[in-house]
Amino acid sequence: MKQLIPFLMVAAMCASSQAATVLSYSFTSDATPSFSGDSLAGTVSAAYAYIETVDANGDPLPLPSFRPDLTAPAITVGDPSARGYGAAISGNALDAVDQAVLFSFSAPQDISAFALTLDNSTLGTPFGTNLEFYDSQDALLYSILVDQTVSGFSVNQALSLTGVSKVVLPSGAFYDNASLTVAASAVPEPSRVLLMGLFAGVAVFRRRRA
Amino acid sequence: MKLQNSGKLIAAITGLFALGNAFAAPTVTRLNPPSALFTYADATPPYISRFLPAQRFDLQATIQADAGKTITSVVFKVNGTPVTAAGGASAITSIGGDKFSATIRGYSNSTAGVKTLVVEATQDDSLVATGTGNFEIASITLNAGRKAKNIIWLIGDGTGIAHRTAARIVSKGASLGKSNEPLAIDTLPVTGIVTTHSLNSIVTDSAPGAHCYSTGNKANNGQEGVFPDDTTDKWDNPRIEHMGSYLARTQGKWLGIVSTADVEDATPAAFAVSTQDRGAGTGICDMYLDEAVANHNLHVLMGGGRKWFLPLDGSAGAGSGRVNSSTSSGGDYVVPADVQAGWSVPAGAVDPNRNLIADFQTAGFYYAPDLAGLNAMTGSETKLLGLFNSGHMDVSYDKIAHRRNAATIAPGSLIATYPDQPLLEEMTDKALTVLSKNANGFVMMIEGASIDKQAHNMDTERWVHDAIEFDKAVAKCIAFQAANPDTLIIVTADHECAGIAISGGSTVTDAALQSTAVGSLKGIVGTYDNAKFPAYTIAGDGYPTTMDVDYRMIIGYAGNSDRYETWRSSPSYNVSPQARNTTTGYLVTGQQPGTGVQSAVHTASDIPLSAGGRGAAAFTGVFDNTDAFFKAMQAAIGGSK
Repeated sequence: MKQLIPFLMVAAMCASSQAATVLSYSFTSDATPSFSGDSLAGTVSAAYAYIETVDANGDPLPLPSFRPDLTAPAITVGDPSARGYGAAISGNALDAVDQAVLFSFSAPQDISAFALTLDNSTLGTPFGTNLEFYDSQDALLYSILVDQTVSGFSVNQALSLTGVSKVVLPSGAFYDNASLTVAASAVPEPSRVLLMGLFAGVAVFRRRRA
Repeated sequence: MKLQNSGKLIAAITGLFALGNAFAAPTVTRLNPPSALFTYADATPPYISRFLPAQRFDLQATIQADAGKTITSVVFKVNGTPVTAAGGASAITSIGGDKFSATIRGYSNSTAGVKTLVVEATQDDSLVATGTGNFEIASITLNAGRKAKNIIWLIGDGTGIAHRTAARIVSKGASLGKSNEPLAIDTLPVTGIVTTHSLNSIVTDSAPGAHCYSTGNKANNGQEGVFPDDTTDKWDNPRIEHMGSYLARTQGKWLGIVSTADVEDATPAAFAVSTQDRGAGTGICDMYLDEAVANHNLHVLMGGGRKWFLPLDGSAGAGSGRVNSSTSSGGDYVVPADVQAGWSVPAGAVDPNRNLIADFQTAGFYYAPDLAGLNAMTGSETKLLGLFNSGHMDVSYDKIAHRRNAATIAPGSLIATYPDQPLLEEMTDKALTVLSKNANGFVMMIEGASIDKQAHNMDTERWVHDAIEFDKAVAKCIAFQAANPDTLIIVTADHECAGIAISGGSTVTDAALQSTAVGSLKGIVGTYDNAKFPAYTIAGDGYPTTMDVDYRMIIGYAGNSDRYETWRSSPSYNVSPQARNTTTGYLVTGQQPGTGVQSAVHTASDIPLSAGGRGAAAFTGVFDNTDAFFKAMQAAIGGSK
């Protein structure tokens, strides 16, 4: 058994790393970010968006709701320097200067980390620009101030958010190197069961040795 | 008994102190930004001064000290928190008569809501004066939709409802109860009504009438980019950040200013300049280059006013040369140190021999002295200066007549000296070409200036003609917007001028009108059924073949001085209505007071506003002129669906 422990630990660690999905996007060339091919349950889509405050009858919504703007062009990436937004962050970046970008998950996700870098300029909306996480009922779960007037402003936070359906990047800036870590499902996956079993086995083995 | 006497003595001493304080105490006599709370102790809406989140403005107080005393310290508090000035951006200045002006420059606040402003000024004997006012930081809904990338303000100076109607009747015609065609302005989908009062009067002049659109705030008549203060210095007033500056520093937009007036005139200057004197000639034009090019991204400046740009010593050749410079009547500018520090602007200079055109060229501007110069542009230009007349540009009525027949030069015009002046639509076209090169968009103000100036002059044919010219500039912008949908077009005025009324139509032919005796001219005015439908013919150049048609449109003036009326066009430009047609016209007695009043005046009537494009839907209803600023900035900052 003792000889098997290193092998089992490596196997468990590999299995564990598959439990969290890191969505990384450098916005280098694709006009429409796509995360297909990862192990995310469902799909994620991105679009220019607006905040809706009234329903079809003009009555106030219970909560404001970010929605894809069907009249807007497809979201674009570009070189921030071409618009005077400072030197490139790392090649092209997501152009959200003129409109907010909405990332939508077809199924709610649990998010454990988020990172993002803004353009290298002081241009940007000088007040109230927040990166926001919403659930499927449009309740605001969490927001992070992104100061668009600080050149090269970046975000890198560990989070503990459950049931995220929407992530909104506020208008006014270029964004690059986005990284969103979708936490392991609340239901233990086989790899987790294996890891827990391993630790339990090791504990029992050592106790018996003692 | 002793105790009783002691008590009386103490009371008497206390009373004397109180009496002394009542007669000797410093007082705050002015607090900027202006507020009803300070002026009338009224804390309820409407709030007089409103700003965008993060829009910069100055805090200022005037303190009347006791005789021989000095104000040693001043603290401004916003919602109870002392305001700290940036290095060098504050001052306490003695302004004479034991008065002191205290300033903090370039303040801003990013949190929406009504703020209480308190100033506490301490005299050298420790007595403290306080004043309380308020201001509002407007709420902008971020991420409300796509932003307006380009904002075009078209200001028909003095253009009320009737000016538009007259232009439509003449240029499009009407028959069987309907207009034959709409004006370009009429095709804009959104219409609103705008109130125009200035800070100190129900009747505004053009400076606050345009300042409101550029800053979102009220100003006193004659002032632009500033609040009033108590000094005689034209350049030290409390400033408010212009739209051009705000959008340049936050979004990298460019600014364009196009006018048929002298570029020093109130409306163009109100979009980039800060002074309490709308007539401060060379200083205003220097400020375009020294401040607006650097801080507002000013890339296009076109109009008249070349005289302010040429050195007084004649070294740049022909031209009247730096008129109203410091060497004549003190129009040049130098700003105090706290303004320089708070607004990141240069000091300015008294420099009558400055060659401002050359300085613009050194800063990268292409210079066009005439239409040929505009047409010689290669298309690669990113900065454009056009100065087409020494003063106000000549009006389209006379420019078109000269284009049709080079020998036709209206007496009183400067067409002989400046024969190749562009029309407003031609200037607009070139401005759009230059400004659209910026990937981040632009703000542009386009003014049809002489609709107002000729309405003042009660020269019907010339202001109607310029209203048609203005509409052609609007058409250019609408075509641009069709190709660039993230463009917001706002067509409005700064105020109504002259109390225009289309009271009817002539009942006689033009030939008959010319032969009508002076005493009978009043009788040719047809009203109601007798007005019929005046019919004008439009030439291939898009303008009326003549304004003197048979059965012509009749215009009345409610805000008028005395005039002599013939109901026909005047061959001469800019002749006073009291000197014009004195033998051929009949006297129409005006309502303006006093001798020497020789023109019609602005009125307090509401004005129309038409809008189209991104964010236009907000411009409905009846609203204050400052509201138009916030509606436009919602579209530019927060976006709209």
